[in-house]
Amino acid sequence: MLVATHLAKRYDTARGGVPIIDDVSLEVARGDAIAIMGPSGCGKSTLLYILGALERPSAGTVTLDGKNPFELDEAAQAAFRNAHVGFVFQDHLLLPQLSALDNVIAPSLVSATPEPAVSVRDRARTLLTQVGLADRLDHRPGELSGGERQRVAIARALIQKPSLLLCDEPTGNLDRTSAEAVADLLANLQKYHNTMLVVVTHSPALAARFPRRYELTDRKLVTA
Amino acid sequence: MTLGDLSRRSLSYYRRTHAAVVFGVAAAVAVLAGSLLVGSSVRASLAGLVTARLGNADVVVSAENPFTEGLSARLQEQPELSAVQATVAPLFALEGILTHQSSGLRAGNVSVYGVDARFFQFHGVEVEAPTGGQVWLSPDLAAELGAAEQDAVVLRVARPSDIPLDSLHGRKDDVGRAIRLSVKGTLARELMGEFSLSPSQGPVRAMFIALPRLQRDLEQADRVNAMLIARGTAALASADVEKALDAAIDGDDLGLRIETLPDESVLVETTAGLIPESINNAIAGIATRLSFERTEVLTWLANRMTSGERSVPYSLVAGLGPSAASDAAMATMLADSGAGAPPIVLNDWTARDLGVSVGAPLDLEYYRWADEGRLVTERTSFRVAGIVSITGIAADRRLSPAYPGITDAESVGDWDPPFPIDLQLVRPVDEEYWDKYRTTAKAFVPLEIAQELWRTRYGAVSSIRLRTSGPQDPGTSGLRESVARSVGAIRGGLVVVDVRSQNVSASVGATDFGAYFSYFSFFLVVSALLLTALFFRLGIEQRLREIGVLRAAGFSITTIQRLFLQEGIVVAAVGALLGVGLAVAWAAVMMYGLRTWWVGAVGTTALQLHVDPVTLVAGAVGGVLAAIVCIWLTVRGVRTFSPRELLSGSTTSALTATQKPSALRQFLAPAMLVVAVVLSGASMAGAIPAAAGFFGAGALVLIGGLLMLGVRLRKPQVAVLGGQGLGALSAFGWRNASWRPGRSMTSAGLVAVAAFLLVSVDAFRKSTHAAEGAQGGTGGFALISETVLPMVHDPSTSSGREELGLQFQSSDPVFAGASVFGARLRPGDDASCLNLYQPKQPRVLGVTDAFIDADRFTFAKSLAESDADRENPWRLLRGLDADGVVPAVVDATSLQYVLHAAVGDVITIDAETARPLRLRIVGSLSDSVLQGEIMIAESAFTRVFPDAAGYRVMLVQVEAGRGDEVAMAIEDRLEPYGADVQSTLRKLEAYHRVENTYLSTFQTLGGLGLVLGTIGLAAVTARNVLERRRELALLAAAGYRMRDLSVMVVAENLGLVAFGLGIGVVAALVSIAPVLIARGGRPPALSMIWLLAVAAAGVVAALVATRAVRRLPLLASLRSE
Repeated sequence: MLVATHLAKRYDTARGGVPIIDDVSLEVARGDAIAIMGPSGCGKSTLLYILGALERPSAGTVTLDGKNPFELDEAAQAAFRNAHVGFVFQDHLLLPQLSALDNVIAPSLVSATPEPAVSVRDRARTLLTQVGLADRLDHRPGELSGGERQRVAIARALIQKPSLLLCDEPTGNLDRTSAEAVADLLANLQKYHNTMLVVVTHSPALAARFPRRYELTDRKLVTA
Repeated sequence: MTLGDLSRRSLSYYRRTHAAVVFGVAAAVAVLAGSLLVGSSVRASLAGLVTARLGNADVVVSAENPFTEGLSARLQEQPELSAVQATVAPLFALEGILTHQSSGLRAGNVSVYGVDARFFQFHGVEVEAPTGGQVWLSPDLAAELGAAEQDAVVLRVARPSDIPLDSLHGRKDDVGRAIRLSVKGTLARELMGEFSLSPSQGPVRAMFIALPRLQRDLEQADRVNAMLIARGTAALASADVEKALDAAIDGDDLGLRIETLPDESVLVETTAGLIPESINNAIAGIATRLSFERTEVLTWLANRMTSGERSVPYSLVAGLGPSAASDAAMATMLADSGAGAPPIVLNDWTARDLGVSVGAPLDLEYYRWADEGRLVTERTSFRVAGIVSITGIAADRRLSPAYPGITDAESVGDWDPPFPIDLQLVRPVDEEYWDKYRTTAKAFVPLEIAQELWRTRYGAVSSIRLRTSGPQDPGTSGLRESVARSVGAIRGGLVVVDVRSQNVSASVGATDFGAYFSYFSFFLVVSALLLTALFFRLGIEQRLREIGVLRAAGFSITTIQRLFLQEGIVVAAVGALLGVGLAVAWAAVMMYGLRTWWVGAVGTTALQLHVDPVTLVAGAVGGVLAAIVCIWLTVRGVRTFSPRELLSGSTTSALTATQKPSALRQFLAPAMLVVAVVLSGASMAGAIPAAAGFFGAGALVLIGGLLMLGVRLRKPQVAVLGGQGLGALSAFGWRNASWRPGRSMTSAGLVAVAAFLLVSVDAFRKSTHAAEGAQGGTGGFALISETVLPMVHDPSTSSGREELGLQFQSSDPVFAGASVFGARLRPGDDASCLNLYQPKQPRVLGVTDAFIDADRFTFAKSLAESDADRENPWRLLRGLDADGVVPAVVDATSLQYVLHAAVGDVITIDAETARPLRLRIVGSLSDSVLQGEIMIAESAFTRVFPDAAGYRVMLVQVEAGRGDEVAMAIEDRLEPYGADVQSTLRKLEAYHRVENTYLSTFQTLGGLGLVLGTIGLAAVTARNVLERRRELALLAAAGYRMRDLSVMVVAENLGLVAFGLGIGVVAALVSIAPVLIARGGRPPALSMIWLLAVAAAGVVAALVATRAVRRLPLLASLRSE
């Protein structure tokens, strides 16, 4: 269960504090999938990063399965992310020097719970098969299409079997066909892996696929 | 807003980025200009040193045989000198050995100057001239001997002799003088205490003795052997001095004795006993011009004249020219060219004594002093062609020149010649003859026969008779003057040297330190330029979007390139300004290094920094141009970026994925390694020269290794990542090196090439481990000895050593198992790497036939064409050159680095004297103890240096472990000759120390360059981190801690350094394998230390790069830009 309570974020600048989000509360249960919409610059990504323990909120708390990552030190926070959170970004952010398989495996290298390399590799292969890239395991990002790269990114986000999958405009850089394919994939995998899925998007089409939809307006999160 | 404004604002806005470029340019300029400044500083220091040591002396006139002291006054009065108010100071300049009496400490190669007040006045210093037995010592000499005021010292010098030592009548038992003196004090440098005529940066061992005292002890009253000339108001060319000398010189200066005999003929002799060819020719010219009848005479001492059972001891025999001094009867008899033996005419006393008549055979036995330094007895058969009464020419006692010890003796029994005589052979009748006829010749032979038998290199005529047949009276004084004028100063043996010009030009140096330090700093400069290019490129990459926008706005690529180039030029100029300041500091540090850390290479602490603005500007311009070229090449690269790359601000898209290693590279890399193995094998099997084979193999390993690294970086990785912890992260980090294979290769390649050079240069490091054999650097000689005084007896022979007092008997145990080779020496400038000055008049050794046949040392190269010459290239010294060029052998190091010539070249030594000598280099010795010498055959030596008497150098081979004992014996027993014995190994080590110090300097500066290159590596890594910040941020989002990311960066960085070092070191070790094996596998220590420093710098660079990771704005990176 992801529970965010009265979250606020403001950035301090020379001209004073700039509020980004204010008093945002949210609960996502295991197996839930939600979409957060809003115009560019409304603070969607900031909210996502706070939920994923990447950015500390100015106020409020976040707990995932009862644990508040912001109470942890930096190293423990990183381990927390590694174990519990998977990220998919608008830009795939694959490592160009690694093959698709290695890109998927990469997060496991810093796992706090050591696991035989073979099992990680098998899981990565399975994930890439699940995203339809069984025949592209050894291809580097430069040899993949935009949609394929994003599918690798999704597989990478799932390699550590996270309870929370956070997607920041996952179809933002894709054409319509690819975007739909990626959206289908996300939905299917979320169900298959029974993760909590939070997708930030300004795409109504993508948002429409989610049973729970929110909109970030005037720094507040409201049900859409 | 203009393009200029745009440039200015860009410069201001990106000042932090440009600061790095400024640093790079400044470093390049500092090192380049600083290195050139080192060169000009060394030259200026050396020029300053010789100038200070010369005082006011501009030109020096010297002679082997002393001339009259009055010549200096006459010379000064000549119009050439008086017109420019030049001043002249006479002095005696000798080489000696000085012993401190109480301590027994000895100093060899001491410059002994016999001076009076004129010397100090000449130099414009107020110093009280030494009087009596006082001497001033130079500071270095006083320190070396530990001599203080009033201390007693003993000087041993060679005694100038009118009669050449290497002639029958030379006084071989009286070659030197020991003079006991008292130290007056130490004469400071500014008071001319370091006066020196020869250019050398080493300590000055000089002493100043009262001229009258020296003249008295040398029995050279009113004579000197040198004059110093100071230019007055205008320049004075040595040609002017020679002209003035020709006018000022007189017969006395040339040792001419001219007198009118009772028969009114004029007798010409010289104090040397033999008339040099130059004087003889001059007299012949005068005689022809004035229609004088000229008779040449060569008189010799016959030990015995034998006919049948009877013989006459110790008789003078005169060789007479065709006219026989107008004695027609004598001339006719001597011209008798009947069959058989040559004619001899006896006086009636001798004929009676021998009981012979005309036609009888007669044997003449006589001594001759062989060029190889020994007395030989020879015999020649004659036929009595006539018998004359002791009248006319036959009664002329002056046919024999004055020989001290013979012609001045009261009786034959009182004879004291410089050769052995058996007085028991002298009969009463012989004494009666002496009483009655003195030096009257007992026999006469034709001149050409006499010259054939008794000619020496000093002359073939002992006297000349001139007789006038007309009204013109030769007159003695007029003739003396005519002869002197006709001979001239130069042919008369005086040498004029423009010593200031010569020494200052010598200070240009045998070694161009500017060039050397530029080479040594090569890596520093290259690293600095690479950094410049790198930083500038990083700056451009930082501004790709700006370029994209400009292009979108219609700027042409050329305009954009021009904008960047303008910025680059301004940045380079600022860097150059900073670099000029740093160059002075850099040069100051290098000069400090030359005075301290690398003093072994220069042998002096007198080198000071001289800031020469021209050199500085030249270095700065060179640095800036190089930097601008680098910047231009970088700016040109802008053209290669696609508009999409430019607008996205990234140049990384898909690059790495598509760059597959080419098939050629994949083939070449292992192929080169295979060829390297084949080359090594062939070298070991002796199929190809070891040095070439191994060095070639090493170079192939280097290139092949780097190609393999490139292939590996570009090749898709087969191994899949896996596992956890440090190992997994390191493997992941190393995988990142393939992200930018070009950059990674550049970094690793720089490290590899530098490591290769740093380690392989150790192959050139010299050691004496194999020097002791006959073919080694010592030639198998344990000792090398040099004497101040010439040894007229050949020390190579047992009898010669006995004559010298070096060996008491042929079975002397000290010399048991020893072999000695003597060599003649023409002293001069040291042509070894110990001398920073260019040798203008280098030392020349005349090596004996025995030495040539011994085939010692190893030749690096020779002109040998026949098998015999290839077997023993020393034989090439015996070759004759039609154009008078003398074959010579020189040490390879001296030839290349000091004389700047090659085998086969013709070089000219003594070029600035009236007697230049051309030498053809027929061979070069490999790493030998004879580095400071030019070697020619003894036969050629005596021809080209007829005045250089005796042997002064000995190469001594001894039984193992007896070196010290023999050295002590030589020094003790040859003490009268001022022997200085050195271990050849130690001498060779001194040469090696210089060469090895140069290598250390190269390695040190190269190492610094490598460290600077490693800083560039850090910059590359930091840049890589910045460019990959989004990927790294993703990893952070995926749970990577900063520490994990740092481990990856460090692993990548160290991986590149390690690969670079590994490839470089392995390649270098393959290259120098023969040397390493010969040294017993001892690794090259200094270079290894530098490699460790590089590895440490790599760690530091990696840690610096990790700072970039920590400062990454991860969240900002994750957001879509």
